[in-house]
Amino acid sequence: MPDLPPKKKPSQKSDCIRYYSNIYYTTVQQKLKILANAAKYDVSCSSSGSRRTTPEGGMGNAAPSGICHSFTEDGRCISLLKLLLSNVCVYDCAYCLNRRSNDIPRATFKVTEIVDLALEFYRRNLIEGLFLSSGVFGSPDTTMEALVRVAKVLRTEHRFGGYIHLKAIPGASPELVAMAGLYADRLSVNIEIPSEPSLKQLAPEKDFASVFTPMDSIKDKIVEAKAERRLTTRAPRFAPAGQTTQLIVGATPESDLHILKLASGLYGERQLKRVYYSGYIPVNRDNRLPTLSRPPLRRENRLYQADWLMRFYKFDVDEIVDTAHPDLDPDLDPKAAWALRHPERFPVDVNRADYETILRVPGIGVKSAKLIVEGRRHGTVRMEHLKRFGVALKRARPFLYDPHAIGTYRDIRPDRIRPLLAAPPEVEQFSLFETPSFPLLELAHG
Amino acid sequence: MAEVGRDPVVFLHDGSFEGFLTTVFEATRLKLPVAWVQAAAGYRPGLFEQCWEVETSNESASRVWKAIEARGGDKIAGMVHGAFLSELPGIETDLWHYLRKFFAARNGLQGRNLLDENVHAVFAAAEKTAHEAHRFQGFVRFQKVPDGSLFSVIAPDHNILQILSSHFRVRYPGAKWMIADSKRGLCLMGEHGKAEIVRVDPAKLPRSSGESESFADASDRKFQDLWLSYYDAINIQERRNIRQMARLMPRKYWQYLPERQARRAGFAGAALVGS
Repeated sequence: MPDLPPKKKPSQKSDCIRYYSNIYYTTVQQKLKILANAAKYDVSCSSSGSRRTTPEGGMGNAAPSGICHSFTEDGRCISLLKLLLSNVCVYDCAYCLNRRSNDIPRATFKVTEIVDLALEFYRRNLIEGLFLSSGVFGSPDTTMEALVRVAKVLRTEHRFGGYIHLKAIPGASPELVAMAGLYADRLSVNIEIPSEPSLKQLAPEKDFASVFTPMDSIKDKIVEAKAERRLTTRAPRFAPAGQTTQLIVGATPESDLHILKLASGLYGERQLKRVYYSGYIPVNRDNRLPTLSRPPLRRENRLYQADWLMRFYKFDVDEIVDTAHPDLDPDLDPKAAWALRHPERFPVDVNRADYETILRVPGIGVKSAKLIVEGRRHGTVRMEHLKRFGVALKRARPFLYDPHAIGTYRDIRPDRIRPLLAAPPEVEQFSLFETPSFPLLELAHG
Repeated sequence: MAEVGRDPVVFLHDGSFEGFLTTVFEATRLKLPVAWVQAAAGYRPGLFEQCWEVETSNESASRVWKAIEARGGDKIAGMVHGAFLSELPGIETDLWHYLRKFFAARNGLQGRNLLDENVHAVFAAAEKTAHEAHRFQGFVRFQKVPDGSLFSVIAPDHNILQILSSHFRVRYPGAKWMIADSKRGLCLMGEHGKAEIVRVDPAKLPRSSGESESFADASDRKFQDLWLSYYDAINIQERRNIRQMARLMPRKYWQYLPERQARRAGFAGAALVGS
C-alpha cells in the first residue's frame, strides 16, 4: 500500500466557504482534466441498448450494440465522454474522491463548454456520446436541472442524436428526473455501498431510500412509456436503454451472496439493464475504510462472471452462491465451480442435450452453444467442430461425452478436474512503475 | 494459353467482387474442374497448371449475385460478400466450393452447414471482416482539414470501407468526410448522406497520426490536445492493465490513434515497459 501524502491541516473556514475557495480552475482543458478524473470511478461505459436515428438536420445516432472508441491503459473501454458537471459536493461520503472535506481542486463546467466538447469529440468520431454525472452542488434539484439542461441543449438546439447517459441525482424532484428520461438514452442512480448499515456508516447523510426512490420512479416511467409506445409509436421514448447502477466491492464487509442477491433483485423486480461492480480503490484516507494493497480485481471479475451467468446463461442466483458458499471461489470461474458441485449433471453429449444444458458446460459460451445447436442439424458435432465453434476445449472437454472420441468418460471426477480449471492464486504484484500516486496532486501541480 | 481440358483449371479474376462472381459464373457455365480461384494480380504461373483469366462481366456477376440473394436471403449474401472482403489467402477457393455446394443442394440449408469445412471457412472469414468493421466504427479518427471536411486514415487487415460506408453516411449526414485506406489505396468519400469509394495514391497518404496532423486545420489542434488530456485523465492508474488494453485495441491499429502515439513525452516508455 503506497502511503498517501499527509493530509493538509484542516482549514479553519467553514465547509461552505471552503469548497468554493479551493484552487479553482477556469480553462476548458484544466476543467476537463479534473472533471474526467473525478468521473472515472463510475465504471459504466456502455453505449448500447438504444436505437436512435439521426435527427433531421442534425448529427449522430445510437447503435444498439454500442461502440468502443478507444481503450485506456487500465484496459477499460472509452465509449462516452464521461464527465462530472461539477466536483463541488455538499456530501461527505467516506469512499468518494469529491467529498466535501477533501482539499482538492474544484471545477464546474458551463453548459456550453460541455455541449461544445461533446459535439466536437463526436464529430471527430472519438465518442458515442456523453455520460454526465455531478457532485451535488447547491441542492439536488439545482444539480439535476443543470444536467437536464445540458442534455436538452444537445438534443433540441443542436439536434444531437448520439448517446446520452445521465445520472439521476438522489433527492431530485421526480419532475426533473422525468425530464431527464426524455432526453437521455440511459439513466442511472448509483447504490455504491451494497447494504444500508454500511452506507449509513460511510455516508451518514444518505440512506437506501434516497437511492431506491428515484430508481423506482424511473422504472415506473420506463414501463409506462413502453406500454404507451405499443399503442402509438408517436409516444415519447423514456430512457430507451434502461437504467443501471453501480456497487462498490471490497470497501465494506458484504459477502458475494449479499451482493449477488441484491443484483438479482435489481435485475428482476426493478428491471435494471446492468449492475456494475467496482472494485474498491482507496482514494481517501479514512479509518472507516479498509486499507488494501491493490483493488480486489479478481473478486470484481468473478462477480461479473456470476452476473453474466444470471443474465445470459439462465442461472439462478441461488445456484451460484448459497449460505454454505457465501463467497465466490477466487480461483475458479463461477460456472466451473457450479459444474464441479454438480457432477450428476455431467457429462453432456452435445449431440443430444438441449440448448440450456449445453450452455451450462464450462468453456461453452452463448455463441458456441448456438453454433452447436445449429450445426448438429446437419450432422454429428465432433470435437474438432467444437474447436472451430470457439469452445474452450481445455475447460469443456472434461465435462463432455462423445462415444467416438478418445479420452471422454461417462462420469466425471471433480477432484481430478478442479486442478485443470483453477486459475493460479492471485499474487501480489510489484511493479517498477507502481510509484505511490495521488493523481489529484499531480493535477494540481501539473 | 494452355489447352483447357480435363485437368483442374486455376481461375483468375481482376480482384473485384464482380470479377470473382463472374468467375463463378464462367466456371459453372463451362462445367470445368476448378483447381483454385484467385486474383490475377498475385498469380505466379506454375509449370503444370492451366489458368483462365476471366474477363469481368457485370451482367454475369449480377446474375450470380441475384441467385445468391434469392436462394439464401440477405444473411447468406452478406456473408459471401463479407468473406470476399476479408481478403484472406485462399478465401475465393473456399467461396467457390461454398457456392458450388450451396447451389447444388436442394434447399438453402447447405449454406449454413457449419460442420462443412468450406462453409465454416466462409462463415469465419465473414465474421472477421464484420468484427474489424465494427472495431473501426470506433477507431476511425477524424480531423478537420482546411476546407471544413473530416479526414481519416486507417490501415485495416480486411477491406472494410464498403461496410463502414452505411454507418458513417447515416451518422454524419450534414458533413463532408473521407476515410482513406492506406493499405489498399482506396478512399471512402461521403457527402449529403451518400458515399462512394475512389482510388487514391497510397504514397500520398500520411503514415501515422503524427503525420496526418499536417493535413489538419490549425484549429483542430485544440481538440486533439483535449482528447489526449481526456484519454489520460479517465485512466485509473491503480488498475493498470496494458495487456488487456492491447488485446482489445491491438497494436497494429495504434499507427493512426493519436492517443497511442509514442511521440508523447514520458508516454512511450511507461506504456511499453510496464506491460
